[in-house]
Parts: sequence; C-alpha cells; structure tokens
Amino acid sequence: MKLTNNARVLLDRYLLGVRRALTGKKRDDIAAEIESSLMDRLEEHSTGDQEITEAQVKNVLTEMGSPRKLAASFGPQRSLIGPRLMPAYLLVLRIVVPVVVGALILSIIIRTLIGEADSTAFPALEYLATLWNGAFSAAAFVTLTFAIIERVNEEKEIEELAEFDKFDVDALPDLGEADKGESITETVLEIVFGVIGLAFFTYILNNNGLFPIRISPMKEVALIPIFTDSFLRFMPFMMAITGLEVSRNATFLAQGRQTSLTNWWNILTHGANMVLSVFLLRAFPLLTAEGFKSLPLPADWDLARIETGVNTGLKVIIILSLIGTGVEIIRRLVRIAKNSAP
Amino acid sequence: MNEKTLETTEKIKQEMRRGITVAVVMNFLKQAQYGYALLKSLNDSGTDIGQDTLYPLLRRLEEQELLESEWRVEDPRPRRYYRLNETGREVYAALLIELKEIEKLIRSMTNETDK
Repeated sequence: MKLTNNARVLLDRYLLGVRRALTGKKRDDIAAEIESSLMDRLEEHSTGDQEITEAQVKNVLTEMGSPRKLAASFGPQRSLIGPRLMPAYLLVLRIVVPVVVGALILSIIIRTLIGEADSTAFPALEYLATLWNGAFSAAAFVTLTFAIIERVNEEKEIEELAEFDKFDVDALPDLGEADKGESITETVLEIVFGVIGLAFFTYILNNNGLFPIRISPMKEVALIPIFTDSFLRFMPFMMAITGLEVSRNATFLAQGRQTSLTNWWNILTHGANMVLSVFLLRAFPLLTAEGFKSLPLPADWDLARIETGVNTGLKVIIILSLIGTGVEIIRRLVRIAKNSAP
Repeated sequence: MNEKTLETTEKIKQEMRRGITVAVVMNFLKQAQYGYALLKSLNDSGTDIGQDTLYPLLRRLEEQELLESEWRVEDPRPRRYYRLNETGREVYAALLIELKEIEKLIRSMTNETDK
C-alpha cells in the first residue's frame, strides 16, 4: 500500500500530534501501535494498487477524531485517584475538610469578638472567602497527596491500605469498647471541675478581673488584679468552651455510652480549645503582679521576676495542653477512621 | 416504557455487557491477533466494542499478566499481536465455567418467567 506525498505528510502530522498527546514509558510502543492500526484502516479504504490520496487519509483521520482523543483511547484508563485508594481518600477528606473549616470558623469568631479582625468594607464576604479558601486548600492538599500516592505506588500493593482493608470478624469491637478510656468517674470529675471553672470565671468577670488576696500581716482581704486585660478578653470564650465540655459530658452520662454525637462534640471542643490556646499564647503576658505592689510584701520579693516566672510556667502548661489536645484529637479521629473501615 | 425507564434499562444492559466483554475478548485471543483485526472480528461477531474500550482492556490484561504481545515484522508492516498466555488460558477457563453457571441461572429465570 502506497500513499501520495501529501497523504503521507498529513498522516505524519497527525501521528506527531498523537505522540505529543501520549505520556508514560510505553509512549513509543503505543504510538507505533496507533500508526499500525491507522495503516490497517487505510488499507481497507484502498482499492487495488492505487495510491492512498490525501482525501482518503483525511476521511479516516476525521473518523478517528483528534490526535489527543485517539491517544487517550489507546492508553491505559487513568484516573487521578483510582478505586483502590478512593475509600481511604473519601474518609480522609470527610475528616480533614470539616476540621479545617471548623477551626477557621472558631478562629474568625474569636478574632471578631476580640476586635483583632481587619476592618474591611465587606467582612462577611471576606470570612466566606477565608472559609472557602481553607476548605478548598484542605481538599486540594488531600487530593494532591492521594494522587501522588496513586502515581508513586502504581501497580504496587500499599501495605497501609492492605491493613486498612483487612477485616476479621473476631476483631470486631464489643458494643461497649468505644467507651473504654472514658470512665464514668473521669467524666463526673470533668463535669465537677468544669462547673468550678465556670463559677471561677463568672466571679472574676463580675469583679472586673479582681481576685481576693490576704497576706499574713493584712487584716482584710484585698481585691487585686492578677489577670491582664488581654487574658480577660478571652474569658468569655473559655467559659463558652467549658460550657460546651460540661454539656457534652452530661450528654455522655445521659446516653450511657460513647456515640457519634458525643465523639464529634468532643473533637469540636478539643479543636476549639486548641484554637483558643494559640490565641492565648499570642496574647502573653496573661498574669500580672502589678496589683501586689500596693500590698505589704517582704522587701526581698522581686515582683518582676515572679511575674515572668509565673507567665513562663503558664506558657509551658498551655503548650503542653496544646500538644495533649492535638494528640487526643488524632486519637479520636483514628478511632472514627477505624470504625468506618469496612 | 417511558424515556427514563428506557435509559435506566440501557444503562443496566451496558453494565451486563461490560461484565462479559473481558471473557469475549479473551475468547478471541486464544489465537494471536493484532489489534485492528481483533476489533473487526469482535464487531463481526456482534460484540459492540470500540477501540476506546478494546485497547485499554488489552493493556489491562497485559498488566495483569494474562496475555502477551509481540511485534511481528513479517507482515507488510509491523503489527502488534496479542495472545493469551498460560495464566490467561486458565483464567479464561474459569470465566467460562462462571458464564455457564450464569447461563444455568438465566435458564432457570426464563423458565420461571414462562410459567
């Protein structure tokens, strides 16, 4: 079978387009097969010893469609995230996006209420944009990560996924297992401390941040400020989060077991606590010794050093609590992930 | 049947056909065939399959090590021939047994419908 010069040029141009549209290590192999297949089709259109004309080539190529389309139809079917990774991908997406959006909402609320937010003409639109950006970035990050895993581990077994897919009937959790690690006593104690905390915060707020102190030579109790103004600004949020924790624990006690509601409620309050801790760390110093200057204290007391020491101690406690809360959130999310696995 | 029901029926029919396409293609690959000839044989036998389904399927079967391919240069021009390998023939035999089971099931369903 022979082609006219123009027909050959047209075919070569088309094949160049096909080669450019192909990717991967089998690119040359697939291109050669496409060429062979096109020649077979052209042969079918040829009659006897006559040369194939440019018009005949054009007809066959039009039938085939664009080089890109033909290249795609010959290559292996690809998807960004294949069926193998899809269940794990959806699960991670369902966890990460709401957590990021929740943290952003809390951060926006706190920033607005403490007056840290930028004053713009359309704050609501800016908040929506922040939320959208956060959700989109989180989803994009998860998608990109899974797409990379898909490409890097192409045709390979992924050990972690095999673990994820394993199912042993005997290993199914007992109905009460989810409650382990969260005993009734622990929950009751949390409620008691939560209520004490609420009472303390209410007292401090009602007294404009003044705290009752009495040192030995004094005959009367003195009300002095021990919290800085920046700490007092956060007190309503601390009360709100403590209130959420107390009500969550009360719900847990009322239901008698851990449920999806109380679990997610717990993650939400822990997340809120983390966001608040970050804001508190940025607002240091939180405690002040200024009020003690008016009291009859021993002469060798260095109030400045005491103030620095106490604030540093508090900072360490907040950082440790931040880490602990992060670990707790991860632990709960992993538990949810395990329970969601087939 | 209204339009929506027809559409749903068509979708289910396509899914059913897709399920046996692999076995049909494997049946034709007991002997070595090159892509275009295989496509024509399939279409001539009444199997409605396009190159956009056939070639990815051939790649998949090759990746699954069920068939082997080789370029033959003795033809008027180089052509890539595909053929089931030993594992492919074993898998095809197993698929055939399964298809026969499905056939039995269909017969029992048809008898039930006839009653």
